Amino acid sequence: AALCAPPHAAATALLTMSSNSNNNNNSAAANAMDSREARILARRKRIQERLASLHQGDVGGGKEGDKKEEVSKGKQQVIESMRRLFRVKHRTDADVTSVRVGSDSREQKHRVQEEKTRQELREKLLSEAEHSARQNAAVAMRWADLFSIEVPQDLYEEIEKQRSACEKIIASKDGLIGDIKNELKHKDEEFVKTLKRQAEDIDLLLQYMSRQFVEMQTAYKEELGDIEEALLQERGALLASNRAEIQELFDKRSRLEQEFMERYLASVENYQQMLEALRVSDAEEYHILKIRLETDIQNLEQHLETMRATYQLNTEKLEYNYRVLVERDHENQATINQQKRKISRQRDILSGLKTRYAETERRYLDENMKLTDEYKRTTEQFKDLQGKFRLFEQVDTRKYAEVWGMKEAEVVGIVRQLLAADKVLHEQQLGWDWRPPSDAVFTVGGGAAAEARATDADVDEDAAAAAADAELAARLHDPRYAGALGMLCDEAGFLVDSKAQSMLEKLPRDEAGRVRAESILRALGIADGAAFDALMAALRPDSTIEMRAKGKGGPASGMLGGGADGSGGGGDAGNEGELLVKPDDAIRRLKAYVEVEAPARAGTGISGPARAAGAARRAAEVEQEFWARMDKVISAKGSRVWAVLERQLERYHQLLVQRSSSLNEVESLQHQNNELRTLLNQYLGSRINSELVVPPTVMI
Amino acid sequence: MAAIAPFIVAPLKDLCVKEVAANFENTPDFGPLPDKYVKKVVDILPIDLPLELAGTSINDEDYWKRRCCARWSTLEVTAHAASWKQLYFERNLEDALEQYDPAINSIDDLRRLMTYSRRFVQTIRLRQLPSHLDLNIMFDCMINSPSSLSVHYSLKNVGMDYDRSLFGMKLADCRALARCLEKAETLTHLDLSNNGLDDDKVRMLASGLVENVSITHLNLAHNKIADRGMRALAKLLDARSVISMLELQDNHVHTEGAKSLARALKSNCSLISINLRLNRTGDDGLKVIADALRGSRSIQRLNVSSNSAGVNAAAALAALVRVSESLTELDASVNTEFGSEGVETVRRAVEQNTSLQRVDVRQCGGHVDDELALAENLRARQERRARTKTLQRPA
Repeated sequence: AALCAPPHAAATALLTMSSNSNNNNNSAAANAMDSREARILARRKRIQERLASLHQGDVGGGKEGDKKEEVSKGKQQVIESMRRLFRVKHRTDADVTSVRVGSDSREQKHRVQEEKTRQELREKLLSEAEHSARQNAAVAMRWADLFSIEVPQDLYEEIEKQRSACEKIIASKDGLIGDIKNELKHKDEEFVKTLKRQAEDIDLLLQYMSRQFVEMQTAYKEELGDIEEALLQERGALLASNRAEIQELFDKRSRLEQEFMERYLASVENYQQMLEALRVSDAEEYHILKIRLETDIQNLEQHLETMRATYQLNTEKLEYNYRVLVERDHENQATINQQKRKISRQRDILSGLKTRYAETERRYLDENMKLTDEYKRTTEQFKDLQGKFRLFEQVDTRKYAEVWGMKEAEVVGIVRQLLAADKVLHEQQLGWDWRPPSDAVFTVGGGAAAEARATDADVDEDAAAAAADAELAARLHDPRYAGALGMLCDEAGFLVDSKAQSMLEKLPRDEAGRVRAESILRALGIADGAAFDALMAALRPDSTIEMRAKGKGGPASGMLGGGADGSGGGGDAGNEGELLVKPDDAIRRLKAYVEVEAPARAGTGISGPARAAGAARRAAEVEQEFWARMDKVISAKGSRVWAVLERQLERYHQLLVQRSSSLNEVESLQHQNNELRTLLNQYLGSRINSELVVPPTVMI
Repeated sequence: MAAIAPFIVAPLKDLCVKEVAANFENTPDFGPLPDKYVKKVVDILPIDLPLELAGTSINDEDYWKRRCCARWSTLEVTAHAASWKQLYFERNLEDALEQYDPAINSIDDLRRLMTYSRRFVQTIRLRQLPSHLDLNIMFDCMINSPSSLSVHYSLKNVGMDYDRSLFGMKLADCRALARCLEKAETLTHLDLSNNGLDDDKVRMLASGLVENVSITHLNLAHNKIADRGMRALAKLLDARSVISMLELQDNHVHTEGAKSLARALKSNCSLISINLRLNRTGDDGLKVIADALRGSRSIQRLNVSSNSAGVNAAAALAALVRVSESLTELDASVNTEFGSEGVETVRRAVEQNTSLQRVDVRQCGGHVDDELALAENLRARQERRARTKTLQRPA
């Protein structure tokens, strides 16, 4: 088997190779065995039968038929050819590979057989080895016995026996060797046979391959012919159908052309008739027009004649005019010359004037420079002056404030004295109940005015504004004014501006009220405490602001009213905060307030000086008000009472004086009396009396 | 014309071309010569230029064709990537290796040849290697090449000097090759068929193949691999194996070897084709192989012809055919013990399957009608496929 392996392997490899490339190979051999041929024929027949049955029983048969109808004849032929070629290829493939299969099968059998013989041989070898080993052992055992034999014949016999035994062993071994040699020879023969067989196989294979090649070639040729024929037929059919179609299209086209021609001729006829009609009508129109135009020509000729006459006249007139104009032209020429001369003269003058002008300008420039310097100097002087003025003003103001303070203290002292006198008069002389005026009478006036003056003089505008704002804010927070502000918010909500309105929605309630009030105050133009106070005053029920608004009498009458207001307010100072005008009247009051205050305030809040002037004015007003209030500390009624009281007291005084003089008289008389008495007593008690004839005592 | 020709002075261009061709060996550079003239020069270049020079500077296929045809008589250029140049270099190297004799040739010359041939050589087919050269030399000299190696340790045209010892691989060869395979990173095809490999040699080779991750086609056909060798090979076919084609036809694999192969196949997912033709796996062996393949999604071709398999194996194959969606070719011919029953079950299974294109159950003791029906079924299937292809092709 080992000997056989390499050639066999080579042969199988060759077979595999050739079967793999069976389509490409070609060689010439054409010997077929009869039996094989017969088998192949029988198989083919069976295949045909099976194929028929398969096609009948094919489930997709109907479908395939439908499909085939759809595809073209050429394609169908291609498919058919492919199928036929497949069949041929399959059949011949099977033939070609059958050689390999056959050889495989033989090899398989051979191997099985070989394995069996190998097994047998091995068994035989093993058994022989065992057998010979046993015999060997027997022989070896007998050798020992030989030494004990002393009879030569016996020994010879025994040795002969041993030899025969050995020979037997050798014979059996030889037999085995012969077997193996036989086997080897057999193998050699088999190998040669196998080689022959494989050579035959290869021949067969080559033969099959060549046959397959030839068959395939012829089949391909046939199929190619068929396909070409089918394609040609298809092409012919297609050409015929296309030709018919083209013919049809041509017919259609000629028919259409015919129709078009007819229509064309008809329309030509129609148009000619229309043209004829148009010509006739145009000729008639032309005649009419011609007649009319001829009459027109005659008219125009007449007109031309008249116009000619007119033109003649005109020509004459114009000729005359022309002559006149020529004359004038001469004159004008002369004038022009004159003017030209004048112009040249004027030019000379102009140049002279220009030089003079330049000179003058230079002079003026110098002058201007000088004046500018002077102006600068003057400005500096002015500034110095202003500085001085401001200094003096400050000094004056301070002095004024000092004087004011002094005078105010004086006045207050006097007024207080006056009030004290009034009180004494009321309580002691008249026995009436005396009500003192409020302290506001003394506090409001003087200090604020002085302060205002000081503010005007010293503090700059920002500080003033800040102070005013702070003052205003303080007033706004003052609970005394809460009621008034609430009413203001309710009644004058329309004054709140849009920005504040939008801000209000985000704020808490009390804050919103305050902001709204601020917004309204801003709208009313109130920027400091004084203005706020004025507003509050306007909102009091007893305000005269409306009358002031109507009268617009001026600051003096306003101040008088204000003074009266103040004195009136002095009466009921206790419940000042709660008293407010009725809500219905609030708007009217506000309007009046705006009318009164607006002109006064027009300039304020915008520029510093104006603002200062305003403050000064307000301070002056306050001062005036203060003086007026001081004046009116004692009312007219009080004055009247005082006058009557004075009169009566004078009378009483006179009376008292009389009485006093009378008392003095009485007193002197009594004194005289007393003196006289003493004198009498003296006289009576004197010694003379005793000496006297008749003593006086006797006489009494 | 012929009479006048000697008097006509050839154009200067032609003269120049000739001159360039004559001196090409000294100045092997075309410089800025237009392609038209390069072609002309190459056409008349001598075919005995030194190989190194020609290899580096000439890429013209016609030149190489000329050179090849002058040297060898039968040539198949398609087997060499359709490149005459590659063909020349491969054949040249093959000849050098096949005829190498350490007593005559210098190993350094061979090394040099391999070193400058490596750029052009992809495939090496050695039909004989009498020198039993250590292939390490080749792998050392030819880095990243070749991709395909086929070695037959045999002797051609030996005639009456036949000696068994001249044929087949020796254990030392196996050891050397195994060491090469450990390092080879570009080798994809390895063909060691007909090398008289027995179990020990295969085990030696397998020890090298285990380290290799590039070989996809392994051909060990026509050897003497038995069960132990099969067990060693089965170890190569684990889950991370990349071998997709395994050729083991004409070996001595018995039932035990088949079982170890089946065990390996269960986890393998790379094998596409297995050829076990002419082995002795027997009924049980084939059965376990078919059972193992049932879970495989990659197997496409299975050849188990001539394996003395019986009815059980036929049933297992039928089950495989029923389940598998990847199998396209099945060759189970010459398993005579299948009997008519086995063949019929296979036929039924094939009718249920859709992927198979080729089934061979000839000489299996089956009924002729079954065989024919099977062949007819497959043929009809193939025809249908061809027809749909024809119809789909745009007119």
